[in-house]
Order: sequence, then C-alpha cells, then structure tokens
Amino acid sequence: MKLISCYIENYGAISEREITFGDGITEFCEANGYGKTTIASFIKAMFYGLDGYKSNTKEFGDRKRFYPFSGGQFGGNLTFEFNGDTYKVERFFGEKSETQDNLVVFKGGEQYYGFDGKIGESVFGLDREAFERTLFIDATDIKISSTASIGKKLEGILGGEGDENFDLAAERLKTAAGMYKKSRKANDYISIEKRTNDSLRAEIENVSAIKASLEPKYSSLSELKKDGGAIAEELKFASTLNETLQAWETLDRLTEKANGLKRELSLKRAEYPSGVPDEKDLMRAERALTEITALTAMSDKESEDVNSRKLDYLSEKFSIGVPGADEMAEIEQLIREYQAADEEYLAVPEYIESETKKEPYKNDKFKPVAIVGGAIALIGIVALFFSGIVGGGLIAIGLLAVAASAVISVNQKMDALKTEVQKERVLNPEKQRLKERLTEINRPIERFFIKYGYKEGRYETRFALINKDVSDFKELQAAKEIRAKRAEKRAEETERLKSEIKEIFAAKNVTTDNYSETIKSLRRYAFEISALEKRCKSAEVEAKEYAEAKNLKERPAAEKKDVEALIREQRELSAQVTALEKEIRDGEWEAERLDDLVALKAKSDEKIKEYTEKYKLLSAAAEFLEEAEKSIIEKYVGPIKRGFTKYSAALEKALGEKVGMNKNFEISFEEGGKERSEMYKSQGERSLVALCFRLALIENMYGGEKPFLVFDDPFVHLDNEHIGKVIALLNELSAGFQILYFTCHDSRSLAAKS
Amino acid sequence: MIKFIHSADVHLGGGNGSGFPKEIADEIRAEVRLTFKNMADFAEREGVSVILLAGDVFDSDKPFKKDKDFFYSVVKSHPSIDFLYLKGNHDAFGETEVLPNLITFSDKWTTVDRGVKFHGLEMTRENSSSLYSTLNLDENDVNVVILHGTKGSGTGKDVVNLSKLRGKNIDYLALGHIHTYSSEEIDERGAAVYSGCLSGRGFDETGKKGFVLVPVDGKTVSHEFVPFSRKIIREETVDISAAADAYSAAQVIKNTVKINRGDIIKINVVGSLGADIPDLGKDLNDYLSGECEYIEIKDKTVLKLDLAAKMRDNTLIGEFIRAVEASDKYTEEEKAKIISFGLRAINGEKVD
Repeated sequence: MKLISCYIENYGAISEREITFGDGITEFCEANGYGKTTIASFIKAMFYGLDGYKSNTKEFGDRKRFYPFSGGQFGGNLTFEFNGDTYKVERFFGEKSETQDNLVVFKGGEQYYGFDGKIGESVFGLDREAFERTLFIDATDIKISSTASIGKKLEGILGGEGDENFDLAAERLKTAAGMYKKSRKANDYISIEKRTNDSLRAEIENVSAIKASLEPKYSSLSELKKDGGAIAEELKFASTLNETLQAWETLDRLTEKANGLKRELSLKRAEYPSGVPDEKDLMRAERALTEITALTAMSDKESEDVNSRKLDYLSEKFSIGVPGADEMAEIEQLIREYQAADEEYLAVPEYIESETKKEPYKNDKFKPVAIVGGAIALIGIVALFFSGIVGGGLIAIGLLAVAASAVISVNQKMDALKTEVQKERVLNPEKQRLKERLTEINRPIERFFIKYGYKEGRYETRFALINKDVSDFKELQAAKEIRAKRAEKRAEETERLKSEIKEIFAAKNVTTDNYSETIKSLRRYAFEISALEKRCKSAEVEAKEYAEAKNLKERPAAEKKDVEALIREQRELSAQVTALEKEIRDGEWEAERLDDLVALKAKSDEKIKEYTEKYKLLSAAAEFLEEAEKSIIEKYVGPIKRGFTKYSAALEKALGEKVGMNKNFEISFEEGGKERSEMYKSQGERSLVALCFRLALIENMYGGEKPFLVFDDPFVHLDNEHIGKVIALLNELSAGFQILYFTCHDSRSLAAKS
Repeated sequence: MIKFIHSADVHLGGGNGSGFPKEIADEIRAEVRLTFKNMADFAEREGVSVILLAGDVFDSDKPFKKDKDFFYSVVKSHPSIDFLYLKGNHDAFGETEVLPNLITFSDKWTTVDRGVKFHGLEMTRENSSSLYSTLNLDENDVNVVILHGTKGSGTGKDVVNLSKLRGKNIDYLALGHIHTYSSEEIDERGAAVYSGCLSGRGFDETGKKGFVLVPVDGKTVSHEFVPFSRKIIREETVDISAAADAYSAAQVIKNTVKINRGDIIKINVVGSLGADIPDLGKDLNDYLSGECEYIEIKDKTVLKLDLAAKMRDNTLIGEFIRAVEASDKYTEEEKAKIISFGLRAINGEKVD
C-alpha cells in the first residue's frame, strides 16, 4: 500500500495543509512546533479514528490534544493506494465523542462502504494498538511485544481464540499444580494431606497398639475374675464354715444354758427330795390353816368378850352366892313397905304445928356427879356397840354415879329438912314412930344390899340393879357354859385340822412350825420349780430347734477362717477388676476409633492419590502448554527472531548475538551466561531493538503488499554512529516500504545524513 | 409347630469399611446392635424357640469386651430362646460365657435336639473335607444343618460343597458368610439358605437386610426372608450424560433415583460429558446431601471432547492439543483431563 496525500483541515495546530507523500522515504525534518507529531497522529487518526473522552477525564488523548485551537472542522482526508485501488478517507471528529464523528470513504472516486468503518483494521490487518506497535514508530513507545492483532496478522499463527491467555494459562496451571505440590514450602495440598496421613498413620499405630494391648488385659481380667471366683468360693466356704462354727458355738451356749437350768432344777428339787405337796394339798392345808385361824380367832373373841368380864365381875360380886328368889321377893316386899313407910313418914310432919318458916333446902353439890355419871352411862351405851363389856361397865359406872349422887343428895336433904324442922318446929311423935318403923324395915334391906355390895342408891334402884345383875349373872353363866361347849368343839376341829395339815406335810416329809410360811415357801418353791422346768424345757427346745434349723449334726473339725482377710483380698481384687475394666473400657473406646481412623486414612490415601494425579495432570498440562509454546515459537516466532537478528546485525552487532524471543516476541539477550531482558539495554539500544523487532514483524506480517512505516523521530537517543546505521537501513528499507520519517533535528535527518 | 430364626453375619463391633464419617459409622454400629436385640425381641414375641447364629456374630476374633457383654446380655434377657451360636471366620475367639440358653458348636458335628435336630460344625482346614462323610442324619428327623462358608465346588476351609450334602436328609441348611440373602435347593428335600447379614454396614452390604424365619410343621420345613433392619444402605448408578453442569446432573439424579430422608446412599454418576464439569462430585454432594442422611457421589463420568477441529488449528491451542494427543505417556482418560485442564486454564476458568 502507499500513502498518496493528505489534507489537514484542522488538526492540532495545523489547518488547511495538504501534504503529498512520495515513494520511499518522505522526511519531515522540521523544528519543534511544525507539527510532525500532529501529522503522524493525523495519519493514524484517518485510519483508526480518535477515542472519545469525558469532560472530567484527566487523560490527555489525541482527540483532546489535537482538537484545533482555531476552531473549524476537526479532521481532513487522506488518500492512499491499497491493492491497486485508490481510496480517500474523509474523516471529521467531534470535540469529545465519537458519535459526532463523520467518516466517508471513497474508492476510485465512489463512496465505499467495504471497510465498515474499520479502515486501519481492513488495510493493515491490525488494530490501532498493533498498528502503533508495528507500523507507527515513535520515541515514546518502543514496547516490544505482540498483540492479538499482530498475532492474527502473523498468518493467524498466534492469537487463536484463547491464545492471549496462553502464558496466564501455563502460570495458572503451574499455580494450580503448585497448590497440590510445591518444591519447598510444605503448605501444598499433598504435603498437608501427607502430614494428615502421617498423623493418621501414627494415630492408627497408637490405636492399634492400644487395641493390641487389650488382649492381655482381657486375659488379665479373665484371670482376675477367676481369682475373684476362687476367692468368692473360698469366702463362701469360709463364711459357711464360720457360720456353722458360730452356730455350733451358739448351740453350745444354748445347751449349756439348758444344762445349767437342769442343774439348777436338780438342786432345787434336792431341797425336797420327797417332793412337795401339790397345789391342791397346799390349798387344802391353807384352807385348814385358815379355818384354824378362824376358830382360834373365834375363841379369842369369845374369850375377850365384855360379858366375860361382867361375868367375872358378877361372879366376884355373887361369890357369896346369888340371892334366891324368895330372898329377893322378901327384899322387894320390904322395899315396898319401906317405900310405903317412907311415904307415910314423909307425909307426917316432923314438927307439929310449928309456924317457923324455913328456907327450902338447896344443895346442888352432887348434881355434877350425877351429870358426869349420866354422861358415862350414855358413853357406855354407845360403847355397847363396840364392846359389850366396856359398854356395860361404863353404863354401870354411870348409873352408879347417878344413883349415888341421888341418894346422898336425898339423905342430906332429908337430914337438912329434919334439922330444919327440928330446928324450926316441934318434933312430931308420929314421925318418930314412923321413923323407927322405917329404920326397922330398912335394916334388913340394908343388910341385904350391903351383903351383895349394893351400898349406894335408892332401894328400889339397888334392888333393880341387883335384880338385873342376878339376872345377868345367870344369863352370863349360861352363856359361858355354851361358849365352853363351843370352844371345846372348836378345839376338836382345830386339832382335826392340824392333823390334816400335818398329814399333808408329813406325806412329803415336810416339817415346819409355821405352816403358813411353809405353805408360802412351798408355793414359791413350786412356782420356782415350775418356772425352772419351763425354762429348762424351753432351753432344751431352743437348743434342739436351733440345731435343727441350722442343721447342726456334726461339728466341723476345721477352725474358723479369717473372713475379713478374704474380704479384704476380695475387695482388693474387685478394685483391680474395676480398674482393669475401666482401662479396657477406655481402651475399647480408643480402639473403636481404629476403623474410623483406617477409613480416614484410606480417604486420605485416596486424596493423596487424587492430588498426586491432579498434580501430575496439571503439571503435564502446563508442560504441554510450554511445549506447545516452544514448538510454536520455533515454528512461528523463529522467522521473527531471525528477522530481528538480521536487522539488529545491520545496526549493532552485539544485539545479534544469542538473542532469545518468546512467543510474545519478548526479546532477551544472553550476557555473561545470564539471559537478560532488553530492558537492561540502554535507551538507545532499546530503540534499535524496537526498530529491529518491528521490522522483523512487518517483514513476516506482510508477505505481499507492504504497508507504509511512520517514524515519528524515534531515534532521539541514538548516537551519531547508530543514527548513520539506521539511516542506512531505512534507505535500504525504503526500497520495499514507503517510509514517513519525522524528525526535528538535522542530526537525525535522513537527508542531512545522506 | 416349631419356629426358629436363621441369622448370620451380625458383625457386632464391625468396622467402617466404607469410610463413613464417624457419626454415620457410629450410628450404623448402634443400628447393628439394636437390630440384633430387636430380632431377639421379635423371636420372643412370635414364639420362636431357637435362634441360629450361623457365624460371624462378632466382627473380630478378638471382639471388644463391651460387644461380648452386649451379646451375652441379649442372650440372658431372652431365656425362653435357645441361641445356637456357630462361630464363623470372623469371630473364632476362645471360650464363650456359659449360659443355659447359649449353645455353641465345635469342629465336630454337634447335634442339639429341640424337636428339630440342629447339627452344627465349625469349619476348619482339618475338617473341611471330612465333614461331609461324618454327617449322618436320620431320615425320619427334621434335620437342620448349620455351616459358615461360601458355596463352592471343591472343599476347603469356609467352602461348602452343596453337591456333597445332597441326599444327606437335610431339610434346611443354614449358612452364614455371604451377606446377601439367597436360597437354593440342595436336593428334593432340603434348601440351602444364606440369611445374609442382619444389618447393612457399608456400600458392600446394600439393600434390605434381615433374617430367615423358619416354621417347622411336622415334617414340613418352610422359610421366609424377613427384611428387618430399619436402616437400608443403597447404591445406585445414574447416567448424567445429558447434564451440562452439576445442577442439571443433580436434577437428573433426583428424577432417576428416589432418595429417602433416612437413606445412606452411594450414587455412581456415569456417562460421557461433552465438557468437563469441574467439582462435579463435590457439587452434587452439596446439592443432594440435604435429601438423605448420607450420600456419597462417585464420579465415573468420562470426558468426550470434540477436539478434531481444534487439532487442525494453527494456534497454540491446536499445538497444545496435538502435543498432548501425540504423547504416549498418558492414558486416554488422562489425556482428556490434561487437555481439559489446559483449555480451562487458557479460558481463564478454574482448573481444579
């Protein structure tokens, strides 16, 4: 292709300028401000347009940079030949946005739509970036690398779909593989899993050891249990033996107790070898004794009767004899006579016709005696209820006292009266006679009463008294006789009873003076014997029943065992069993994990295998990618590299030695045995490298129609020697390429150098 | 009528061969214990007088004390039932506790008469060939023979040769060792029956598990498998070729397999995937784990990439694929994965 001309309407500082491009090299050697870069940018913009920008952007792109200061339409046109046809591109730009741009393409004078707005891509087979990296060479951007667009242009050998990620892919695969396995750091999956695996293996070994240790523990436990069983048996035997011996001891005690009681009973029985009366006999004896006591008491009572004393009294009183009935009748008659005489005597005044008044006789000094006597008599009456003798005695004493006081009082009164009468009147003879009569009558009476001791009291009273005493005496004597008969009978009965008692006791050879006490004693004895017999029997039964209950037939010959020691031993063994069982339980708990651990380890093994496999495959994938890269480099990058070497040799020998180039055309040089990037070169050398690289690329990219090359003063860093070589090269290249060369200094001017 | 239960392979104290998480493994162990106790309760309820334990009551010849204690406690607490315990290859531990209703066997034929005659022998290498000739049963008896081993044609320890038991007047051959119920005729008289394990413990013991109830009515012996274990372990295979991603794969699984809340289930996902689904197993697990008690996804899908077009490209990708395909260092499956990894890396996708 060939650029023919361009017309810059307005673009940066350039307005309405037409430029014609010649074959070979077209040089623009002008001072700064001429617009060399503007022209270069314009040409690029005609093919690729300008990127829009936003108001607030800080970027200073070409649209912003070259927007015309003077205003007017921003753009122009460019005419070029391509594949034998002439094309004219008219392109005007908005200030900021691509939407305001206007593009018209003419082909052979006719508007042409074949480029579909993508003129650069269609003509050069490159996008803008690739164009800038290849055909557009300036001093600012000497980046040496390929792009997808360049790759595509290189006959599509590089830059197939996804190829742009090729390096990343290999790295990604290596990174992924590195996740599984790293050379040094052990934090990759395989290392981590291997550590887990090792840990599991160690744990499995431990748990296996624990499991293996269980078997001897089972054996120990079994042995301990056997020992425990033996001790239990021994303990059982010992306990049974001890219990039996203990039972025998108890039986011995019971038997001894029974024997003791038997001995005691024998001793007790020995007290009465012939035995003792039975309770029936004892009751009989007791009854007899009671009867004897009652008889004796009765006798005693009769002997103590008050009547007995009265009888004694009366017997003494009538010791001279008891007045007979005639005598009593005579006395009674005399007393009546006396009373009559006395009445008569009393009726006759003692003094005849004597008017001397006398005070009535008063003498009460015996009145208290009479009262006391009455009281004694009353007490005697009351005493009768308690004791006939005492009561009778008291009554008699009382009555005697009353009677005596009465008689004395009457006599004194009568004496007093006589005295008074005599003193006061003339004694009456009749009276005297009567008095004598009285005396006469009185005499036998008095004798009678004195004879029997009744000296006090009025005659009729005394008579009544003696009459009563006689009567009582007779009655008492009769009663005495009756009592005597009864006493005799009681004595006989008493004797009979005593004989009966004697007989009862004699039957058992029991002698005693005190039957009552003996009966009590015998009864107590009988009770004791009975109790002893019962106790004896009970003790015997107890011993027998105990022996039966405990099945005590034959006393074991063995001695008592030390059960406590066995129990201690059993406890110790039991504690050992418990501890061992706990150990087993814990061990089994641990050992049960073994299967899970083995399963985990198997999974871990699988993981390691899987990781290893993945590592292998990822590494393989990375290796294959690298292999493919090497192959592709050799196959497709090789010509580029060779082109680079060719051009660089023309410019700088050093650059041509041991040059390396990867698939991205990144160039390296071997220096001092080390491969170094072109970045280590000087800026001037790097500009040469960039030039050689681009020329090699272009040479390979365009086999047929060659494109034009734009050099926007790229060699500012070259020294004169290299400038000369470059100029020589460009001149050589201009035979095949149209070259637009922009520079601002003669030192780099092709024309000047030529 | 006499009824007995034929059970085997209880495997008390069993391991965790399927690599379940500890809590699930613990639950399964507890379930095994509970099922054994429940079987004894069932027997008592149903008037079963004998429970045959045809081997492997315990999972180890050195069972834990607590497992033995548990076993003996169940036996003791069901005194009306005779437990006829024949040891298998797993539980050949020493002496058992002496209990009135626990009858054990030895390496010689032992007969227990409970109206039905139970003949048992613990197989050893020494008696493995002679046991057939030493077994003489009265044809007038109802004969139940108990053995623990695998049906086979030869002889040897743990090998039960049915052909050598034909015509031996066996009415019922109670077998243990195989963990799945099965029944087949020995001859015109008797049947050889595996009760299977009592309760599933892993993905190698899937499906309904239980015991065999055997009523004996006079001379007639019948049997019926009783699915008894509450917990059923399942394994299903689902083709998810049609799924484009893990979510749609989960939907395919849900539409294909009925997943119950209490299931312990393993799902093998198979099929050809046109594109790699990263983390398929993990994502499926995440999507489905809430549907059941435990789920395990096994990704057995294969990657079928259409690489023909890409291989022709003069691009780095084409070069990469060509390089992988040309390698003889990797299997086709590995190559597919390598390519998948590479393409995902190139596309900026997650690679692991």
